[in-house]
Amino acid sequence: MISPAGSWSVSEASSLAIKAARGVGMPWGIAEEAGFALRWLTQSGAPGVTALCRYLSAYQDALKISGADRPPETARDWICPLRLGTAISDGGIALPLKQPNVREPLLLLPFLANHATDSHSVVLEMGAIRIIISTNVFSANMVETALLVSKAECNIVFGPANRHGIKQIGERVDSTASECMATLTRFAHKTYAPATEASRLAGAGAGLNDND
Amino acid sequence: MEEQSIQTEHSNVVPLRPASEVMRLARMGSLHQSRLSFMRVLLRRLKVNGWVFDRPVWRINGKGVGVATYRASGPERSYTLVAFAHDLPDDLRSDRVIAEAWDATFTLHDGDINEADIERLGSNVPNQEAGRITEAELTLSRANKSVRLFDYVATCLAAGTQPDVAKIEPVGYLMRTTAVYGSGKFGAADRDLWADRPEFVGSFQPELLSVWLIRAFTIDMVEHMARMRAPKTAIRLDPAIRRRIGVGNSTGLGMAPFLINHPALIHSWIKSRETALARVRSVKQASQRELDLFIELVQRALINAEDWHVEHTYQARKIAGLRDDLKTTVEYLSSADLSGDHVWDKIYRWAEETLSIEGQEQLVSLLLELYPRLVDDLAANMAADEAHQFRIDGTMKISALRAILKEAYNWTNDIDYESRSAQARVWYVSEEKLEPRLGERFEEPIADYEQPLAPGRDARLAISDLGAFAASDTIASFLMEHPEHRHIVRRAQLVSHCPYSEIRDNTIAAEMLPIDLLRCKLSFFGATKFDPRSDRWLRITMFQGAPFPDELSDLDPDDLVYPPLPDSEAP
Repeated sequence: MISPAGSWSVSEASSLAIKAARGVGMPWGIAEEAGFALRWLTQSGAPGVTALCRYLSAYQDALKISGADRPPETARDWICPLRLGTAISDGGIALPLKQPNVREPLLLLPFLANHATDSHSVVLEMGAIRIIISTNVFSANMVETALLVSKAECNIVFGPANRHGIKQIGERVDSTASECMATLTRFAHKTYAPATEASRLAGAGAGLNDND
Repeated sequence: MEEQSIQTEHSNVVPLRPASEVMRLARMGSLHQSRLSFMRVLLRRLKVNGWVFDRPVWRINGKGVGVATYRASGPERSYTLVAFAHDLPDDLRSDRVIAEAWDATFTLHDGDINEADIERLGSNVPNQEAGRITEAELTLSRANKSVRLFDYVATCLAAGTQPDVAKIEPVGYLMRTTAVYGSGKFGAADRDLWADRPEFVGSFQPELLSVWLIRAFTIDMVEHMARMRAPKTAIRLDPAIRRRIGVGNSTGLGMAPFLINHPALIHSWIKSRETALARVRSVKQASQRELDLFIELVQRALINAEDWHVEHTYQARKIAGLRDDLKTTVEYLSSADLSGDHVWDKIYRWAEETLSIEGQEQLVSLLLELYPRLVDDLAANMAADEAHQFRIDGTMKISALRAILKEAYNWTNDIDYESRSAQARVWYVSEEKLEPRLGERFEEPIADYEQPLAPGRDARLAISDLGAFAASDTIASFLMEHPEHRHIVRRAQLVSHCPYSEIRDNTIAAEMLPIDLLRCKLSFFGATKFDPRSDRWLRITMFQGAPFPDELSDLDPDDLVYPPLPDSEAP
């Protein structure tokens, strides 16, 4: 059955993000952060699904090349935005910070937002692109899609309070993301165990007649 | 630790029961519905706020196929249940999530509905998971008939006679739902979109509004089929008999992980119930009228227990114990000295020493019945802002994390996670229709697919790796080196201020019974007649005894939960 074209709810996309990140081999706790990042970006009107889809695809490809025994973020030229983002959010890596080789830096934004307050913003500079991040929202000097940068040197500093924008809630993931959603669904599938007849019966505890 | 006791307008203070006692699977699997259960919260609110109900569309043919709509209109908004009735061959009727066709399918639409939307939903809702709904819909669900009871009732009504209540009670429903999805699933509106609406304060209110309207649909369907069969002789169901018909539900493993995956929410549910109990136990003086009412409630609960029949030996034993407990309680209440202060606390402590856990928890629910003014306001707290609780505090010192892990997971001290029986099970999701399952770690190749549903084991692993860190190090530095512990560290930080967020039992043990998890959740929904069909799925009844939409304004939904005493007049 083919689903009609349409939009996805944020929670649907966010749950899918968790499974997809787990599916390519990330620990559950980091996968949960991928779900958080996707939710934050979508609700801020940013192409979170696309950014995550691009990152997980690259991650998956790098795993294939490296022989699957070493996660790509162990390579020197590969800084994972989720690992870096969570470390910054946790306070394990202090700001300000200059960090080369950050993959899909858009995914950093939700974590940087954790360090914004009412009195200061966090500013992410990547060459000519300058993004000002406050607790719930961000503003940038370039159109959204231009923010999809595959790899960049990130200069992260504190800035003045950003008074623009109000947090939007209830944004949807629209149908233009359908290819990316399909890719995430494919990665999510890697978390599902292939069914066997034994598991079909025993695993769900059926066997008794459903009808009465 | 957060607030562990409450002060009522009365002087005594009884502490909340600790999580180490409440959050054990044996107790969670013995919970009963209460005033705080979400079905009851829903009906009270609909009644108090004067909601009205109608059925704008009824286009069901002689074969029972077509569409109907049920509208609920409140002070600010309306909602419409759209029901699609299908002609399902018996051999396709399955309650499993792997089913692909059902007797009826439903969605709850936000507001009044037009024909274009009915048409759009008609090409999606009957396909359930394979279709899509939109932000204009709140829930997606389906139901199958109890063919035996549906045909019996239809035959009786067609012949102009009322069905025998004794034949209705053992089943309790004409249709059972096999899934009720909400909160953004399959394209539905995100919870954020409607969570602040006053009619949905608490948990699962759109889902249970759907189920309550589905119940009305099941009655309309059986009356319709009787009329189609014998237009001249068919009659409608007697309202008192009709009220004994609820909606069934088949619930499988899919619901079990929910309690572990939503720790902040579970904390809010359990804490409200425990707070209510502590408030009632703190009442200094009970009136004779309250005592009489309590004895009557115990007797009515006994009738309910005697009508509760199951085949599964685990639950059958518990019900036998419950019946004995309630008889013992009636004897105790008629012979004990109940003249002093704090009589409810005295009764509770007597129960704790005397009754089975099943009986104790039944008594807790009955105690809450007596004091709407101390209990009902707590329903508003039974929700959680999970996003708000998500962020890890990386500045916390390793010493503090160690202390939390040692306190909240101290029940793991007696478990040898090296042994096979302690980690015999694996929670996983099957590729086939994404069904959650429970497998055997040492017999099936499933460990690679394990879901993070074993916090006790994960806490032990984290404690072990924390050994290499200094007490003054931060969690942030620990997690940079050990991202694999991020999940359990998040849980641990939550449990440090939400003690009821974590189950204090081994959820992957060989002897673990998933039905305990299912029952805990379903009791908060307000389900009754738990009927385990194995150790991992069960049937329940929802809204049995409750008023129908056309009688809500005239009846008290809270008085209808337990069957009336035989000598009292039917309402």
